[in-house]
Parts: sequence; structure tokens; C-alpha cells
Amino acid sequence: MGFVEWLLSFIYKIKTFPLIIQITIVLTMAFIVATLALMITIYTIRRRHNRLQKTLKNSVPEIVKLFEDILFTEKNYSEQEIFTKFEDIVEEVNKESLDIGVGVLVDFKNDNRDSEKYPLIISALGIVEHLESKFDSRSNSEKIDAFQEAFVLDLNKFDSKVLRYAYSKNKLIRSEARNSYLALSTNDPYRFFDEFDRDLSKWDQIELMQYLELQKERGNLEGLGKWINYSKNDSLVVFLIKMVGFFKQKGINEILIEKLEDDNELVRAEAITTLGELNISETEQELIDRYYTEPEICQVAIVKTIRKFNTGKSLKFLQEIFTDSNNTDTKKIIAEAILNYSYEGKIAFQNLKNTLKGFDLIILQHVETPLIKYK
Amino acid sequence: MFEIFVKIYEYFIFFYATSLILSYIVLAIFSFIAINKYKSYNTDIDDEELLASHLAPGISVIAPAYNEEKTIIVNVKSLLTLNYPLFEVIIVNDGSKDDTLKLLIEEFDLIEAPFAYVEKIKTKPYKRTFKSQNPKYDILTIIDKENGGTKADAFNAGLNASVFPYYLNTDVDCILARNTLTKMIKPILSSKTTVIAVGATLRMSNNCEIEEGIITRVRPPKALIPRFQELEYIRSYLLGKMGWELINSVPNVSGGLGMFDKDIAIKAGGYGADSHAEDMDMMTRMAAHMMNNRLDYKIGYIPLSCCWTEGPPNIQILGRQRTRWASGLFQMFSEHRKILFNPNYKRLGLITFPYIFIFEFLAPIIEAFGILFSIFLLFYGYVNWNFAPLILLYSYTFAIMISSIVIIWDQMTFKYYNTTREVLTLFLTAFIEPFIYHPMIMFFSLKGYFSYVTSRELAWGTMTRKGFDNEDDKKKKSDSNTGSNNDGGDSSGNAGGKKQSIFEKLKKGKSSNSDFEPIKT
Repeated sequence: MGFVEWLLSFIYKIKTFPLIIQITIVLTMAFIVATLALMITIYTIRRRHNRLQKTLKNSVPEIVKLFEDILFTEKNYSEQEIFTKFEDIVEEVNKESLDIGVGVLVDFKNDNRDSEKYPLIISALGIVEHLESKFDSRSNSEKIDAFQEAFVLDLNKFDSKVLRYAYSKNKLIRSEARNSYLALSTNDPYRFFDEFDRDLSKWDQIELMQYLELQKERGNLEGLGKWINYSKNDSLVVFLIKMVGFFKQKGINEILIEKLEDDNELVRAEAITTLGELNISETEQELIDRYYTEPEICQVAIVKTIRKFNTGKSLKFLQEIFTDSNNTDTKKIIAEAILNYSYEGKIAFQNLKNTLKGFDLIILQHVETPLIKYK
Repeated sequence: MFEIFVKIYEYFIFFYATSLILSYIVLAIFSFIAINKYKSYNTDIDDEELLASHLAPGISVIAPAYNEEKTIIVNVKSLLTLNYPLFEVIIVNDGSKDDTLKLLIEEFDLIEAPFAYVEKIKTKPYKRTFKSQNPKYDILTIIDKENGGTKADAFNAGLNASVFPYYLNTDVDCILARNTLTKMIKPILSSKTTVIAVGATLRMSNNCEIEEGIITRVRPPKALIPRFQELEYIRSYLLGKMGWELINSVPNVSGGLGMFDKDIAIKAGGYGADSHAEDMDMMTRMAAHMMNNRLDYKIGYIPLSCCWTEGPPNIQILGRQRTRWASGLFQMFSEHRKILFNPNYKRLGLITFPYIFIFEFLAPIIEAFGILFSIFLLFYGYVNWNFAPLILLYSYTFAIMISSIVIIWDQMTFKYYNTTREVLTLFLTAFIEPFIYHPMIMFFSLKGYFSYVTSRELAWGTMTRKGFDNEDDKKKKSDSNTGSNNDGGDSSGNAGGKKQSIFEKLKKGKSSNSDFEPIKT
């Protein structure tokens, strides 16, 4: 009896069984077929992986050696020489081998191994074109890789590519493109500060900050005050105020003082902190006057800012709020401010230690113990 | 009449099994989408960006220790090697009776430090804090407290002492991957909705190579019991939790490895001090807190394996572990019973809790009843021998298929095993698992339920450790016969006291849930 006949008789037999048994037989057969297919898939995945591992094992040390020779020695290579030597190692310069090469360069950059000859390798191997093809890929993973690799390799010739994705329907790609535009555009890197229509996530802030640092390295960091002034997006305003403090940008005192009246407590708190970062100490009395009417987040910012000003004028105020505060975490911050508030602060701290008892005394001891790194 | 009953029972079992199978298929599809999504939008360059950033938020790593003298030093060193710009390590010595504290003091050059410990969450009395005099270990804090009887109490003490806005809870017997913190904080940083917790996959460390507290080579366990558990963990995390993640319904984040928003954890009342399923209990409390306050939240999961823990090497220890887990699950459903099928709790009350209740909590009971009923039918000749093997084959082939899917998902995510042979070893384990491991788990689950109902004592979840051998760095010690600090039944040194019976608890009604925030309607 042939297989087809057997199958037909089997199907005929199944039809005579109750419905539940019929379903069970069909599903069991489906599970067996699926398991076999999965086994083949596992085998294929492993085979591909083993082949890649073999390639990596053989070629990566050689590529590292070649790139180190080009980047970190005095030897001069022509673009053609670099291409030929790279081809000798990887056998064929294709997407896979270029990905390995880019990975090596990204590792060098992440290890802060500086050299002026990165553009030479990038040009010799056609890495810009390689990244362009990754931008054009249907895979989101490839696009994200391209955004990040272009940034790490300090390439900024992708205006049109990135701009295309800045209006993508995919929220994650759109967000990544808009953030990356700051680093990857040559024409108008700050374009999307005018168009921010979403709350910034913490990751957006981390990315934008590193792109701003890159702009600073390139000497293109613009004054951020105008966006603080005009933007209606509070999360962007908070971030930019923080960046003004971080990059110590001057000339925005008035904007910061204006932001002390903002309805959003996060904006006020960041403005207060930045006043401290920029050492705008003429606002000290204003901050003290506001202390009791502000929420906790702003109160903490005021204490930290007064500590930064370190004028010696507000010691009495700090002692007063230490006594008044009921929040242990805030008390720790105030005690730390007193301890680090000039020479008079140290004396006042000792006096407090002599007069206080119980848990308040423990807070003071906690703060002055150098072994406790994070108070 | 009896025949009608048998018929109804047969149909019930068929539809129960089929709905379970369907749910697994749906979860497999969900997890596939979730894993691909994760892989598309997360890269290793993200880690570098985060490590170099001034905006990386601080994380407190909290690990409770109870009688862990065999492994404490290696494991604390492992925690100290984590790669992240801003973190502290807090070890809570939960009144250990052995030399855990002494070893820590000697190894890390600790002295008692004045520490402003604020009891934001009530715990058994705090005794003192130790800090290292060696600048190399300046991020290490040891909290010494009286034994609270549960890991939950120790976690609460760690929470009280922590300073950063996020915390990672782990066990001191866990070896973490160096990039654990960068990988696990990413979903929190990327989301605009508040992410209250993030979990990752745990695996067995039993046959792995460990050097200076760092995993250098991953292998599936040689011994059968931990290998079964490896497969079970991968299935549970990659298929179950990753699948739930897609629809924001992750039921729990493992006590062995989870990152949480500290502020919300404290507002939710911390860990239930008497809870033996502290992880699911905590997750439920936090989710309930967010819903009560009409706040959006998300529970994240990443498909990477970040934590390796020593699996039970034999049936006895596996039994203790699973009995405690099952008892904890019963306790969890008993204490949070208001959530079950409660529409006010949205997905938690109508999807996650009912699913766990029907397919995890009730499964051992239904299975045990099925076995007894089958024996009865066998004696009375009611078994339909034409179809019975087919039904068995139906379940068996499905179990193997789902394990195969999980192994592929694992291979898709990250290829932890170096050789194809190691992958095949795990694959072959799937063929025998339904006959050997599954019945044991069912038995221990029932034992756990029984222990809970009859209020047997449950101890802190420590397990007899083999420890890691530093001398040859590659092999674990073969000596495992100490037995001084056991999981489950061995109550030596456990100040947990006798547990209330379920009947007493039910009698107390609402008051028994006093430390759990009820839903506001």
C-alpha cells in the first residue's frame, strides 16, 4: 500500500472518530510537524552562528591589528592600500565584513582612542555609503544601528536620510531620528528644538545631552536660552535649563529668574539649581524668601544652590531650616550644606553636634562620616 | 449518572488542556513580537552612551543574606563588579547564625558607621550599619538586623537604607552579568509612562565557569534537576513574562532579579513582611497602588539573561524550594483575593490574576485529581484504551513543541551556549521533562498548598549551597553535605515563628490585609 493510499485510509478512519478526537489528532500532528520544523530552525540558527563566530575569530584580531596600525602609528597608508589589506583579511568587502569593521572602529571610539586618521579608513572602506544603505534598510534594528554608529564615528553628512525618518510613523524611529539630527546634521542641527511636540523621556535626555556635547566639541554649541524662552514644552525647557547649567552658558540670568515664577515646579526647581551652577549669587536672598512657599523639590534645590553660592551670608537660614525640617532626607542635604558652607559652616556644624541629641545627632554624624559615600 | 459525570469530566479536561495550549500559543506569539521589538530598538552602544552619561540615575543593589557563609564573599564581589556609573551595594544580614557577617567584616575591612537609618517600612529591629575602610569597596553597605523570618523583611530593611531612586533586588547567591544595570534601567529610561519594575531572565549557574564573581562561560547544567530547571526558567521568562510584557500584564518580577522604582515601592508599603512569595506580592502591591491613584504604569521585561543562580542539585532541595514557592502562591492569592476577577483592577484583575489562578495555582490540583480519577477508571475498566494514549500524546507533543519554541527564542535573543551540542542537550531535556520533572513539581506544589493550609512553618528561602571554588575557578565544589542552613522545612535559626493558618486568616477578613492597599472604588 502506497503512502497516499495509507493517508487516505487514515483520513477516512479519522472521520469516523468523535469530533474531539479528530481535533486532537490534527493538533498532535501539527505539533509534531512544528517540532520538526523548529529542530531544523535551531540547527540552521546554530550553523549560521558558528560560521559567523569562526569568521569573527579569524578576522577580528587581524582587523584590529590593521586599524591600530593605520590609526595609532606614524605609518602612512593610501585608501587603496587600506581597502586591499582589509579585503585580504575578510576575503570579500561586503555588508557583513563592513559591519565587523565598523564594530571595531566603534569600539576604538568608545575606548576614547583618538586619532585624526579615522576619516581615512571611513573613506577607504566606503563606510558612509555602508551606513546609508543601513539607513535605507527595512529593518528598524539596522536603522537604529546606523544612527548610533554614525554618531559614534562622528559623521554628519546624513541630513536627508535622517530627516526622512524624523517624520516616520514609527514613534521610536521618529524619536531616534529627531534626537540624532542634532549630531548628524550639518545644516540645521537644532531644527527639532523648535518642533518638539512630545515629552522627553530620560533616554531622550541622555541622547540629546551627548549630542550637545558633540556639538560643543565641534565648536557649534548654540546658546540654549532662546528655546528656554520660547518653548511651550515643559520637559524640553527643564532639560535645556539643566544643559545651560552643565555647559555653563552665560547671559541667560533674566530668563532663569523669570522661570522662578513658572507654574511647573520642575521648571522652577531646575532654574534654581542652574542659578547655583552658574553662580548667580545675587538671587540668594530671593531664593531664601521663597523657601517656605515652595514644594520639597524646590526647597532641596534652594539648599543645594545656597551651598554652591557659598557666600557665608545664609548660615543662619540653613541652621533654621535644619531645625524646622521634618524630612530626614532633606535634613541630610541641609546638614551637608552647613558642613560645607565655608569655615563658619564647619563651626556651626560642630555647635549643632554639641547641642543636638537622638536622631538629629545621628543625621549629623551620618553626614560627616567620610566612609558613607552616598549620603 | 456516573457515565455522565465521566463524560463531563473528560470534556472539562480537554477544554482545560486546550485553553492552556491556546494561551501558550498566544504567549509564544506575543513573546516573539516583544523580543523582536526589544532587539530592534536596543543595542550595546546604548550601554556605552549610558556609562558615559552624567544623567544616568543612581541604583541601589539590595541583596539580603541569611546564613550564606559559603558563597557570600564571591557573590558580594560579583555585585561590586557591576558596570554602571552610579550605584551602591546593600547587603542585609538578616540575623545570620553562621559566620556570614564575620566573613564580610574580615574580607571587606568593615567598621560600624553612624548611619541615619529611617524606618520608612516597618521591619524587625535594625541593629547597625557597616561600611568599608577600604576605598575599593566604598559603595558597599552592610545592614545588620534581627532575623525577620522572610526575605521580604530583609528587602524592606535594604529599601530603608538605600539612597537612590531605583533599586535592584537580587539574592546573594546570584551571579549577575556585568551589564545588568545598564540593560535593566534602559526600559525605565526609554518609557514616558512610569515603569514601576523591570525583570530579566535567570538561569542556572551549576555548570558555568565563574572567575572573580564573573560568569565567563555559560553551559547548561550537567545534573538533571538543575537542567530541568534551566529549561523551565527559560520557558517561564522568555515565553511567559516576555509575552505578558507586550500587553503590559507581567504578573511578577522575580525576587532573584528585578529593578524597581523605589518611591513607588515605598508608597505601596514595601514587601509584605510575612510573605513567602515576596516578588509577586510586591508587584501586586505596586500595581494596586498605581491603579488606586489613577496613575499609568508599565512593567517591563528584557529577554536577556542577566542573573545566574545555583539551582537545587537534588530532589530534596528542589522539594523544599518548590514547597515554599507553592505556599507563597497560596498565601498571595489568599491575601490579594480581592483582586481576582475584580474589574476595578483592569488587566491585573481580569487577565493576569485569573490566568495565574486557573493555569498555575489550580493546575496541580486538577492534575492530581486527574491522576487519581484515571486510576479509579482503570480499576473499573472505564478507560478508553483506543483514545487515552492519543490524549497523552497530544499533551506530550505540545510540551515538546513549546520547549523547542523557547529554545529558538533563546537562540534568537543571545547565544549563551558556545556549542550546538549544549543547545541539543537542553532540547533533549524537553523530551523527558514531562515524565520526570513535571510530576515532581506537581507533588511539591500540592505539598506547599497543604503546608500553607495546615500552617506549617516556612523558613527564609535559603538553600544548601555548594559554593564557588576560587582555586580552580572553573569547577564547583562537590561537597554539599553541610546542611546547616536549609531551605523550607529546616527552621533552625528562623525567627519567623508559626504561621497563621488560612482559616484564621480568613476569619480575620479585611484586617488580615492591613498592610495591603485595597482598591478604592
